[in-house]
Amino acid sequence: MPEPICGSHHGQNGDGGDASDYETIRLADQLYLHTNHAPHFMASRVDIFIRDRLQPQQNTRLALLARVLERGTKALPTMRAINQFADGLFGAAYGSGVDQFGDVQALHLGLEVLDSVFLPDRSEDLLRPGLELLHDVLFHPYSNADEDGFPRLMVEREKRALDRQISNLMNDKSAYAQRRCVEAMCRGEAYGLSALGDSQDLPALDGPQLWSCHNQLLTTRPMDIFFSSRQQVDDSTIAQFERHFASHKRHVDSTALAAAGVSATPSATREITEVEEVSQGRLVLGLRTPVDLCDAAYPALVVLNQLLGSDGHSRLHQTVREEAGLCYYIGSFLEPLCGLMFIEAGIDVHDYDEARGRIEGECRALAEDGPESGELARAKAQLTQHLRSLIDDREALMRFYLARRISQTEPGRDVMLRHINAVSPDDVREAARGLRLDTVYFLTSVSEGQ
Amino acid sequence: MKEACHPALEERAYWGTAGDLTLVLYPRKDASLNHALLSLDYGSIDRSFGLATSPEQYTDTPAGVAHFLEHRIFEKKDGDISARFADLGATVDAHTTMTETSYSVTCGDRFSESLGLLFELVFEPFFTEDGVARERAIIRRELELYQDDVDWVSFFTCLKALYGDHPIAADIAGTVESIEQIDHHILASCFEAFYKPQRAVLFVFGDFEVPAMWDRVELLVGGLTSGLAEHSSPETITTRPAAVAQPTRIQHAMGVSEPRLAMAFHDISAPCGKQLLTRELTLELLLDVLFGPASAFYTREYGTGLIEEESFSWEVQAESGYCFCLLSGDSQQPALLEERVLKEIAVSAKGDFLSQDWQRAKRKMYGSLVSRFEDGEDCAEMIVAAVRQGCEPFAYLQILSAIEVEDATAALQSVLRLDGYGISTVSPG
Repeated sequence: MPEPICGSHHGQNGDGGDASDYETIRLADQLYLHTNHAPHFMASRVDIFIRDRLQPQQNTRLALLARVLERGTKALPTMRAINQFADGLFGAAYGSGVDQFGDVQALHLGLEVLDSVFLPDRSEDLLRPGLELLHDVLFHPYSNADEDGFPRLMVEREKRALDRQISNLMNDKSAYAQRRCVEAMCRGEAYGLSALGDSQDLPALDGPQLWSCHNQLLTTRPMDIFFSSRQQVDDSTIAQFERHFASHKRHVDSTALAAAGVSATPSATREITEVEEVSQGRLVLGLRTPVDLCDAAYPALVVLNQLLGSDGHSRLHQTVREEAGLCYYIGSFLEPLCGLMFIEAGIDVHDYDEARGRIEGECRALAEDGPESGELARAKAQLTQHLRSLIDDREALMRFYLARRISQTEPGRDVMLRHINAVSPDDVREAARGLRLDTVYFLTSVSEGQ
Repeated sequence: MKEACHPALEERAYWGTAGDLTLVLYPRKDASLNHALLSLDYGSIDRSFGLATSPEQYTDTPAGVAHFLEHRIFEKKDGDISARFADLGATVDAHTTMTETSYSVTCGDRFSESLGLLFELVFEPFFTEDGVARERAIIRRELELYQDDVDWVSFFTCLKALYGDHPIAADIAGTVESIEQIDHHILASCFEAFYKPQRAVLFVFGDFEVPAMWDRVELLVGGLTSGLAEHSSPETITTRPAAVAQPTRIQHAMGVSEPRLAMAFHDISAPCGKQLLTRELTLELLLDVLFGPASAFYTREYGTGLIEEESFSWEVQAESGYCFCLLSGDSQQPALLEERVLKEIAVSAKGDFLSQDWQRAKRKMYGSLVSRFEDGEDCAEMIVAAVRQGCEPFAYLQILSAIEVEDATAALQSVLRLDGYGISTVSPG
C-alpha cells in the first residue's frame, strides 16, 4: 500500500481548514491520489487531471483528444453505449474535457456517482463500475488496429465538432470579448493560447497523431487524481485506484512543465476595438501585476480584487453600476498563476469613455489612498467566508488545491486565511500601485466615426 | 405542522402555515451552510390585479414590474441592504421568473439574524423617484445584455411562435419602452398587492431545532402582520390569462455563428396539483428517451453533424396555468433538424419504442432528483414547487417511482403533437 506523503496527520485544525482537506498519496512517478473525506456530500467524485504546458498545436491536439476519448472504449465502443452505461449508474455525471490553469492545459476526466446508501436497494456499488469506465477511457479507448490508433471517421467527426465549438464561442459575447482581450494581450505567451485549441490546426490532425499524443500524456506528464467521498477512504478503495491508474510505466519529463512565471510589463497600453453585431458593448481591461500565486504579496492582490470588483459590494459595482447606471454587470477577476487581472463590463456602446474613466479612476484611487477600513474589513470577512465554505464546493476546493500544486505553493486554506487577515491598507495600496494596464479591448456595434 | 419523510435520506421535513405564510422547515444536522428561500407568487406574467374590495376593477401594469420591484427592493433608507447581509457573512440573491419572485440567503453562522434581514429585505420597501430612475438605466443594460444571449432570444422567440402575445412570451424584464412607464407609484402599488405573507412560501434548510425555528419564523411573520395591518391592505385577486397555443413560425436575425432552431410544444391537458408534477417528470423522461444523449436519435444525428452536444437540449416548464416543453439546438440545417425531430416523435408513438429505454431513463432521473438534496440551495426550488401544488415537500421522488411508460404515451399524445408547435430559427444576420 502506498504511503501518504501529506495529509491529516500533518495538518493543523485552523479556522478555515488546512492541508488535511486532502490526504495525498503517491501512486507512481508524478502520479498522485488526493483523497478527501466529505460526509456531507451524497456522491463520490473522481477528477483526473493530466497536465501539459500550453503550446501551439499541442493545445489543439489535447482538446481534440478530450473529445475523442469521451466517445468510446473497447468495452463500450459507441457514444450511445457509454451514455447508456453512465445513465444506468443512476445518471452518473461523466465527462472528458480540457481545463486551463495559467499557462498549463489539463486533460480532465470527471465522474460523479451516488453513494450506495441513497440507492433504492442500498447495496449497489456504483464507484467500482465508474472507476472501470474511467480506466477504460484512459487506457483502453476505442481504437482500430488497422488504422494505427483512433478510427479515422471518429476523429474526423470530432474535428468538425471541435471546429464548431471554437466558432460558437462568439455566441457568448462576454466570453468572446475576454478571449479576444487575452489573445491580444498575451500574444506569443503560453497563456495567450486557447485550451480549446485553434481551428487552423485541425486539418493536419489525424488518428495516429492523436494516439501518439495520448500515449505521451499517459506516460510522461504529471497526473493528479482527486477523490472525494462521504465514506472514509479505506485501503481497498486506494488499491482500486492503484490497480486502475498506476499499473503502467511512467517516465515523467519534469522539464516539460517548467513555469513561465509572471509576464513582462508592457511599454504602452494596447487599445483594440472590434465591431460585431451586438446589442451591448463589452469592455475588457487586461492588467498585469508583479505578483502571482507564489508571491508573498499575493494575499494583498486577492483582497484588492475583492474590494475592487468581485461582487455587488465592490467599488466598481457601486460606482459604475449603482451611481452612474452605466452597466448591469461589472466585475474583476484574477488569473493567479500568471499574475493577471481582468475587469469586464457590459456597457452602452456610447459610454466607453465614461466607463473606462470611472474604472481607471477607482484603480487610481486605491493606489493613491488605499482602502477605507470598513471596506477592507468587509472584503476580509467575505474572503474568510469564501475560504471556509470551500468545503461545500468540491469543484472550487479541488481547483484551489490544484492551482497550488501546479505553482508548488503552500496549499493550506488556513495559511491563506491567516495571510488574508494580515493584509494592511498599505499592502492593498501597494498591490493597486503594481497594476499596469496592458490592454483595453472593446467589442462594439459602432465603427469609429459613427 | 405536518411531517414528511424523505424516501432516500432518512430525513424529515415539516410544513404548514406560520401566520399567513406557508413554511417548510428541512433540518439537517451538521449542515455547514444554512439556506432560506422566500418565494412570492408573483412573476412576469402577473400583469394585472384586482383587490377584493373592488373585484370588478382590475389594474393593468406595464411589462417588467415584478423584475423591477425585485431590483429596487434592495434599496432601503440607509442604502443597499445587501451590504448588511455581507456584514453577517451571508450571501443574498434574488430572481424573477414568469410566475415567481424569489429571494434567498445562504450563510454559515448568524442564520437567525440573516433570516430577520431577509424579512426586512422583502417586506420593508423604500422606493424613491431617484432610485427608480437609476434602476431604469441599469435594467436597460440588462435587457441589452440578454438581447445578445442566443439561448434567451431563441427561448422567447420560440414561445412567441407558440403563444403569440401572451405574457409568457415576453421578456421577464419587460422592454425598453415598458420600463419607461414604471415609476415608484406603480412599484408601491404592486408591492402592496403582491408582497404579502399569504402569497409567500418560505423554505428553511440547515442545522437548527425545528420548534425554535418555527417560533422564530412565526415571530417574524407576526411582526410583519402587525406592520401590514396599519396599511389594511385588502386581498389581491389575480387571474392569469389562459395560455392558448397559436402556433406559427418566426425567423430572427442576430450575431450568431450558426442557426439555432427551437420547437415548443404546448400541453393541452392543463394539469394541476400532483398531476402537474407528474406531467413535468413524465415529459422529462419522455424527452430523455427520445432525444437524450443515450438515445438513438442523438447518436445518429450527432454522427451526421446535424446537432452538436454543446447546445442540443430541452426544457420542460410546468406551472399553474400552463405547461410546455421546448427543444432546441444549433444546426447548419435547421429545416432538416425539424424534419428529423418530427419523424422521431412519429416513430416513437408506435409500438414499444418508449418501453425499451424506460428503466434507464428512470434510473437516471432518480439519480438526478436525489442528488439535488445534497444541499439546501439545490433542493429549495423543487420543494417549494411541490408545496405550491399542495403536495408533500418530497413529492417529486414519490411521484417518479409511480410513473409508468403509459404516462409517457399519454404525455406524448397530449404534448408532442405534430399538428401544432411553435418554431423559431435564430440565424446569423
